[in-house]
Amino acid sequence: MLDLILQGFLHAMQIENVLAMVFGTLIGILFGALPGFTATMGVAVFIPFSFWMSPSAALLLISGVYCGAIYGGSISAVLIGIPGTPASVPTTFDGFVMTKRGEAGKALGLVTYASAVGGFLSALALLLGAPMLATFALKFGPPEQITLSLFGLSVVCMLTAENLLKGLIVGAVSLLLATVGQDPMEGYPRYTFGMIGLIGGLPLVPVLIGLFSLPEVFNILESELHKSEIPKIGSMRVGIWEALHYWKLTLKSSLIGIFIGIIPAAGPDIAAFISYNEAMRSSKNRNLFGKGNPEGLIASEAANNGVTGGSLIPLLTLSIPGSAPAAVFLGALFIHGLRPGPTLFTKNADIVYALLVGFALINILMYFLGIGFCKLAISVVKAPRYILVPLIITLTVVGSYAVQQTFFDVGVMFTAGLVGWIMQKNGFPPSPVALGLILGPLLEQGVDMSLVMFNNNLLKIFTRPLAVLFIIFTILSLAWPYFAKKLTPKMEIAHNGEEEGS
Amino acid sequence: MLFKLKFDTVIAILLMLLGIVFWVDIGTAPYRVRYYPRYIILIMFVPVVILFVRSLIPKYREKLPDLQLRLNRKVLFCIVSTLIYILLIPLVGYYSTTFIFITGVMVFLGARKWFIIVPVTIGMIVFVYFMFTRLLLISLPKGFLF
Repeated sequence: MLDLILQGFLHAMQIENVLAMVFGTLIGILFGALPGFTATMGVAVFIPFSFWMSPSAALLLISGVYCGAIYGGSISAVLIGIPGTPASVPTTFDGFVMTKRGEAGKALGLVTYASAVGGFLSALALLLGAPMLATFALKFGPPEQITLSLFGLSVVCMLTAENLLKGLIVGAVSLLLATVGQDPMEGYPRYTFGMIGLIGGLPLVPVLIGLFSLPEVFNILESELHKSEIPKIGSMRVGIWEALHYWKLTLKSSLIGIFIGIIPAAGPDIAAFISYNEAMRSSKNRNLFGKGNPEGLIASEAANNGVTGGSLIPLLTLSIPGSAPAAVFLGALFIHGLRPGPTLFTKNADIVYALLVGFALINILMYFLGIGFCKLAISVVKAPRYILVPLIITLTVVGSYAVQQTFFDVGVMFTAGLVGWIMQKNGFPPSPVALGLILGPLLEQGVDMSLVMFNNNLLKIFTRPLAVLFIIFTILSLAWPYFAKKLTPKMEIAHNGEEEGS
Repeated sequence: MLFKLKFDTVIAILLMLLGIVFWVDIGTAPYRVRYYPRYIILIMFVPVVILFVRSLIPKYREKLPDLQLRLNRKVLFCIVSTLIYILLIPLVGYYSTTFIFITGVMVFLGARKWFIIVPVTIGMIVFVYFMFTRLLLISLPKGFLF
């Protein structure tokens, strides 16, 4: 195997392949940073560009776009509070607060570091454990899909612990709104009220753009900033000690990302939320989440980039895409005459190992290109609001239009923005909307298919070990805030006692 | 004072109405299509009813914000101008409307120097043109101007 990896390295280092990696990663970062452009769109757009390239260069170009776009979404999330891709929604919770606090540089440095490490570890998992890990994907059926969705939805309780009732309302309403459009089994149109634009469901990306961007624009307008109050930027450097300080969290979040990536139909957005929730649950600084805690950034970014390599594991070995961009990636493989499956690793070893090694190189490259890109992008924070406001609105309009090239989506974005602003003003948290809209369709599909599978007896879910494991995780996640509350005073008393004793 | 509307009361009523509309609207659909949304509506009603009841209890009611319909002048301008911008794009054309929108909002928010306004506006339009129209081949509405 070592000789194959070495061969792959030499193949990946050919000038055409290196250029493809650099160009792909750069363009991916730019795509990801633009609100409205998802990694899936980026990968899809660049497949035609790769026709005239050699298969290895083409796959490396697309891999670069994929990894770059997932990372790039965090840049706008940190700088202007607008998630570039749905996977960066949890990054806005702490990233934008850090920017307002004058720590934009540190936030960008940390997201770049976490993204690169998460992506690199996922590339290692892809390179070293693909066939073994792929068997896990086969064990994941509709019952597991239900329990994973419920586990994901339990994040609402953690995210909105301070205002649980309103968080639950927003989550439930979002789940209901996620049922708009054709039902997953029979294609029956629900709640379209005669609007053709709703047949495909409430468009996720425009809703998220509106929900997270327009309220920020209105907040900028409401706050009377003086020149001296323009936030500082701070250094972007992440020192070795700082990186070591967060190594456990980075590793855990990356593993969550890889694990979620392997699961079919669960993508980087779900991974980011689950990882954020886990980081919050296990952190000593739980109360600082959502208030500019670097741990929140690392958890979200290491996990969503961890998905990149993870999602290619079942794709390359079993032809099962682990995320939406991976599904488009499958098209690229077919176009270049590669048939995913166990034989891919023997028949096309030169191309596959160049891709696997290149994937790891892309993530290293992404760190340096990302830091360079952030140095340019960071000037956004210093821009006066008379420049920032019209440019953000223009970007949100064109970004939401670009998804399906329909003005209906722009209307949805605008409405979501106004609703989001009213919600924010009255203590209704917007984050459960993202969770409800992302996980709702997954949950419904899982329930429908499980009912068919188990002859309308959903209790049979408990016969599936993996599903039971997720149920235990869900219960732990739901109960943890209460346990934590009860445990914290005792722990503090014990800790104080120890200090006094010493 | 007693009848002063609270936001939570209004939103709870609106959400209950939404639930009822969604419940009734799906009534004629086959069982397999309607059961899932109906369960979600029932689940949704639990916290909504709690919110509604809580907003009526004086102890909680005192702490709740009143329903306010006043808007900051700048925010109102921004909402109205964005709405007009979105409505005019298909009629007039993306690039010309965007030029007017960016310039107008910049001037309203206090930009006075033409050597800032013009490069920012043109820069944004050129960026959108190359990124969306040339690279991504997305055709932006041309309208009767361009």
